[in-house]
Amino acid sequence: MKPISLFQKNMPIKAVTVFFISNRFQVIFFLLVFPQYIAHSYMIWFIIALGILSQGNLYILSKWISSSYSTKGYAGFIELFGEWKVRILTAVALLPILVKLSVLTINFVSTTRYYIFPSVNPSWLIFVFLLMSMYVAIRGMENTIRFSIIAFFTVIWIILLFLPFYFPPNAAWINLFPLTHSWSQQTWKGILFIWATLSGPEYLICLIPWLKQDQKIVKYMTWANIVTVLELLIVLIASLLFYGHHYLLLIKYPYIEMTRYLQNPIFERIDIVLIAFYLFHLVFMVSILLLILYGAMRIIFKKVSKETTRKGFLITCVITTALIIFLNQFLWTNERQYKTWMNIEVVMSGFTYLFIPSFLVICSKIKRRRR
Amino acid sequence: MFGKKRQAVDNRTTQTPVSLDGVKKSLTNMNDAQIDEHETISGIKVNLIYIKSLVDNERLNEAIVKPLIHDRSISVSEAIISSIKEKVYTLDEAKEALLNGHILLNEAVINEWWAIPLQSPLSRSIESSETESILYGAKDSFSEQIDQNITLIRRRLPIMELKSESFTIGSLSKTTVVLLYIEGLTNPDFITIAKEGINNIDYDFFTDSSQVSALMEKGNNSVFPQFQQTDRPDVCARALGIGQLIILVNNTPFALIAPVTLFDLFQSPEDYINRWVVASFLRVIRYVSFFLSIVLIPLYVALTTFHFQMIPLQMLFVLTESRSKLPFTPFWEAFIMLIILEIIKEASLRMPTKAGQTLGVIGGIVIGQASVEAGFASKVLIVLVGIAAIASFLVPNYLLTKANTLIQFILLFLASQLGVIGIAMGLIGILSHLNSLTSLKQPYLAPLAPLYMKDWKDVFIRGPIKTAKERPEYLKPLKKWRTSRRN
Repeated sequence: MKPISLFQKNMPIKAVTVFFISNRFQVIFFLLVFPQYIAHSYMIWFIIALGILSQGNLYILSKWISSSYSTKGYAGFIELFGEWKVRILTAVALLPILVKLSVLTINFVSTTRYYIFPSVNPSWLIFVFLLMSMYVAIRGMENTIRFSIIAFFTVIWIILLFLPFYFPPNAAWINLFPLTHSWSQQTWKGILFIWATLSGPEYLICLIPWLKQDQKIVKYMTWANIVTVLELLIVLIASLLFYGHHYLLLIKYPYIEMTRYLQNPIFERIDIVLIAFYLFHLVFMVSILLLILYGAMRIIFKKVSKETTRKGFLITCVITTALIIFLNQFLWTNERQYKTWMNIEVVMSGFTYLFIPSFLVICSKIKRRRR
Repeated sequence: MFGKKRQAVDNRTTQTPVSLDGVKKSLTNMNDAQIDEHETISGIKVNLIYIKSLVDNERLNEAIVKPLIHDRSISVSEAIISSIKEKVYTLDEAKEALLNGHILLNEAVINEWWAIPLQSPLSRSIESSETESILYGAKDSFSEQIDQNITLIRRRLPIMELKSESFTIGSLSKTTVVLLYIEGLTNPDFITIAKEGINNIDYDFFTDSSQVSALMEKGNNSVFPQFQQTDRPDVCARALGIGQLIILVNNTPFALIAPVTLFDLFQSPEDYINRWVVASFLRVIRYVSFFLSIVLIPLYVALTTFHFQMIPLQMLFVLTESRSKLPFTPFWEAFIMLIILEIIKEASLRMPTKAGQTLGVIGGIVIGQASVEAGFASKVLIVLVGIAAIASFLVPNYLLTKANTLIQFILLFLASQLGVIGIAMGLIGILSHLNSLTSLKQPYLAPLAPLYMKDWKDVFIRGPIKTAKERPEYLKPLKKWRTSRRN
């Protein structure tokens, strides 16, 4: 098949794009999942606290981004670790990428089926969504990164729809109190989930070569983090005010469910329209992850020096689709399995966000000292 | 006069030198070719060779023949006082000059040749634009004469920095193409890319500038134009002023503007005449109309096929009653009506103006009403088709209006298969496609993606002129400020 320039760098992408990528990578998980153990008013404090902690982590990440190794891309990693170690690390990295990809896609498909197409085969929906993402991804990394701006603007306005839930008669402010709690295992789970929600900017490590080197990157990551924290707070507080803690625990998709109560003279069931808009967000995420996955495969199979091909990318996409369908069909069949996969994703995302930036910064410092 | 003159000078030594026999042979079987022999008072024999259909015969007599015959000079070059006579050396140069409406003047004894431009002024008068008509503002528009078009632009930009470079393309049509830009303002990369694009054109015949753009574009399969076509000199002058470049093509009134973005195609010259609040409102209406024109009918199909629960109860009653006796599914109902609409639109364009208007009325009212009564379409759909059709014409760019139709059909199909999710998928596909398109290698979705927030003052709205002190950043102009104080 003909070679295509999936990873070509025609024009350095403006640093402001980091804001859109970071923010979109962060919020999607929360919006799709919103687990029960976070449905407590005291979690507001943890969201703020972990947001501040995440800022520290972003500072470490920015240290790596501004390092000479990072800007060289693959060559920088080779310089730092050597080829063999890079291949092994890449193979290990496949796991969190695949889990993230699967959890996001299956969750979105579940939401779509729950609200729009209850009788449609989920495998078919997975295939369609992956096909769409492939269409976006095949236009290359540069264009897909730029697509983050479109993904951002097509969904960010949705947050404004939650403002009516802050005012009576929708809001019962009594539901927000007390803002204190007694420590339990649920609290730890909640903290871990919020941390996992704030993860995502670590994927910037794979996108640095396409971005314009700019001192402002850390500023844009900070803004992304702030907007994410604000979004999480707006949604959590609105849902607590509207449902109250006890009823909130009984709802599967509180975020989407709330929008069903919005009144509109032209459309009812606004949730259906919103899910359609969130498809922009999902497609962006999946297309970026597919490209990262293909890049990782090329590193593992020593194909980096060769041109990217449609065949190679297609094979990666087909395998990924088959894997997600298999997962959904056999390993995601009941509530227990669903929770297990959620826990795996939460732990993995939290782990990668916490350790990868620090690990890379420490390795680069050690390497520099040895010189 | 000679598009490839410099190249010709280099190759002169290898080309056939011009001779009377050579020229005569080239003019064989051309009944409008004329070779006149004259002798001056001082006895110099002169041959005048020209193509009657291409030259201005009155000017030929007044400016060439009379001075030549009655002059007592000792050489022809002294007799003909024309500042734009050029010496001709090769047979190819001579042929090109003749075909461009020049007179070839040959001093027989010493075998010297000159070419003097005397084109017949075949041109229609300057009329107002039919494709981009406005109520207020300049009324002039381009014609088929490239020189006249350049004049219309130069009158608006009387500065020495306005450069025009000429090229000749088309092995048969020998079409003159002129590249216009403001030196020291337009980004040199655009000029280089445009020149490369024009030089790389290898085709025989050109009837319109759209063919030139088609051969210069990268994504040929796109329905979106990557060059803006306009016949308005004020639009061209404004484009030059902000750092874009213009390509004029001879024998067509439509100039090309590049690099353009999708948002440029939504701008109308009237935007800069109306008060900024009104202009902004109208621009937003245009975007909304474009969106409605592509989404309205697919949304109807999606709602009536999959998402009845989205329709408010009162509206649902009307819709159910309206669709109760229809033999078609919503998709086929909408598809047939849209095809009929396209037939009516296309027919009214091809017919004489008055007949076209009548056809529009017949198509809109009679066929619409009849199809409802015959049970082919619901009343709701007829209303929506009408709204979508009118909304599509709000976009000032005709090529984009045409692209609407195709997008509408694609979304219609997707909506019939996956409802609103299908429409969202279609929109993702379109936006992803637009995101990867370029115009002269510049992103087509700028200043949205890549993001240039400062340029938003004149994209989705038209901000006050007082605040628009900077030229668009995405055009990377060499002079950033529009005010003289800051440059």
